[in-house]
Amino acid sequence: MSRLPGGGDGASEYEYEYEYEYDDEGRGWRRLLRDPWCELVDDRAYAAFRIAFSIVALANLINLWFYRDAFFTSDGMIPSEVIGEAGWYTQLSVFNLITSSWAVSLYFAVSAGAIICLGLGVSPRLAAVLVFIWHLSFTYRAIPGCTGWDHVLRAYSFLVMVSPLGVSWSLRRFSPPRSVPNYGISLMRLQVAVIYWQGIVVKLGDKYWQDGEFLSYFLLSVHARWPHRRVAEWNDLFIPATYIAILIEIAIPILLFIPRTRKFGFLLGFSFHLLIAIMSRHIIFFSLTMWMTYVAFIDVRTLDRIEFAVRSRLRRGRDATSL
Amino acid sequence: MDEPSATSDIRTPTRLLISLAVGFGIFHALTLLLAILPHDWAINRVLAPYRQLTGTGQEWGMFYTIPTMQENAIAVDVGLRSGESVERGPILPGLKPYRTHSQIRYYYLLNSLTDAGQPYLGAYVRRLGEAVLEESEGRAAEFAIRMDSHFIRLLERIDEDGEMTLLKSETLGPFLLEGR
Repeated sequence: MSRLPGGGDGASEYEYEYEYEYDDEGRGWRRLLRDPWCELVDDRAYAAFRIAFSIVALANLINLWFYRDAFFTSDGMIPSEVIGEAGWYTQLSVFNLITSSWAVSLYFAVSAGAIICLGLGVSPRLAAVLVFIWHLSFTYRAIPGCTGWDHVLRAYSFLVMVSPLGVSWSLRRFSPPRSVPNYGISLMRLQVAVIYWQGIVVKLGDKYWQDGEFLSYFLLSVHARWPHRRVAEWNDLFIPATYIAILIEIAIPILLFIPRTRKFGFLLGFSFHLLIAIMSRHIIFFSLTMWMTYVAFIDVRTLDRIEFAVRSRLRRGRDATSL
Repeated sequence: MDEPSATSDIRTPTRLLISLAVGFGIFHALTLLLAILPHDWAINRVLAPYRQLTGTGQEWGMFYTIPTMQENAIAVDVGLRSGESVERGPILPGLKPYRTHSQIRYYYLLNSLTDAGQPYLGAYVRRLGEAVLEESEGRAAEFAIRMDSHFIRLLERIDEDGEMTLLKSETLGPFLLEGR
């Protein structure tokens, strides 16, 4: 049985087919430089991420559908001439070429199709390229209407595009896993840490985070599900909660990176974003997107369990049909 | 002529792939990690075009400070040449009404569009003017953007009297329209 170091701490039931020869004899700095990118990983790790990414990206596209005329057409609210002044990169948006309502709707439909194909593993590389272009296009055209989770999805659409795509799990085949290099998974994991830690660096410079009053103001704001005057009364309780939130954001990536503590990382991150989703009424997509990023940390044993569950369900479905 | 061995056929692309994976992995990881440093540092300015091209700009300042508003209402007051006044919404196309909580992306968008410190206001006003003229079939003489914003008060003030917000009304305009 081949153990896949990049795939996490669990051993799988599968024998792996290596796509290329990986020389793990090296020592020292060469190995240190090479292993995070070239160690072999179960390609179902990429498949799981690809599927999770597609689900959230599709949900986000559906959310944007209701804003399409206002955000992307020439009759809409966002002036393209001003957006163009933001920088050369805004020219990369497909929405510079299509400005009528029907063309914008058609581009939404094509992009939705690409996201579905990516999720199902149908022509996945082409689909991944189209999905990346979609994310670049809408975020570079609707700059003032975009949110943090749009940018997270855009960053991951690039990583999905340049990574192995995990063809073991696809509509056409449900085959034994193959081994592929782990550079994509490593970058996806690192991206999670940068999202949290860069956010912390920015927050620590803010007076309200320093004073611990952020959470009270948040719970009274446009984002709060139940804004109530008692929040101000209970500010003394929310001050430690603000600091705990900072500690949680520092801890989540560390816990996720260490195989032994990964379960706590999942639990802490999931609970943290669930609490945000419950306490706020508009940013469920942010929680969904962050949960999606954790899929990059799923280990081989969990992938086995997921596959077993799906196979069992499919078998039961087939048996029921044949009866 | 010697035929290339099967081994060399396999190893050539393999080595190339490994080198590419290592090179790309290290470079992209560095662009991610360096983004934690201040953005105006020279290295981040140098890396900005790569990040923009790949859509991997690293600006994760979500909720970097407190949200200041609890709710807002934005409407467009249109003055007709007949002297009448009608209220329309700020959402284009169609001058549709805006509701804070059912359309949160419009909340972000309108906050930017109506912010004098942002570059969008002039162009948005021009577009609103065109839409108002078209819908009124040239009967509109002027319009103004009315914003009623419920700003969150200081916590100690809320604690004193229980009032969570302070209503601040602001009008942009009136903007005169040239009839058809």
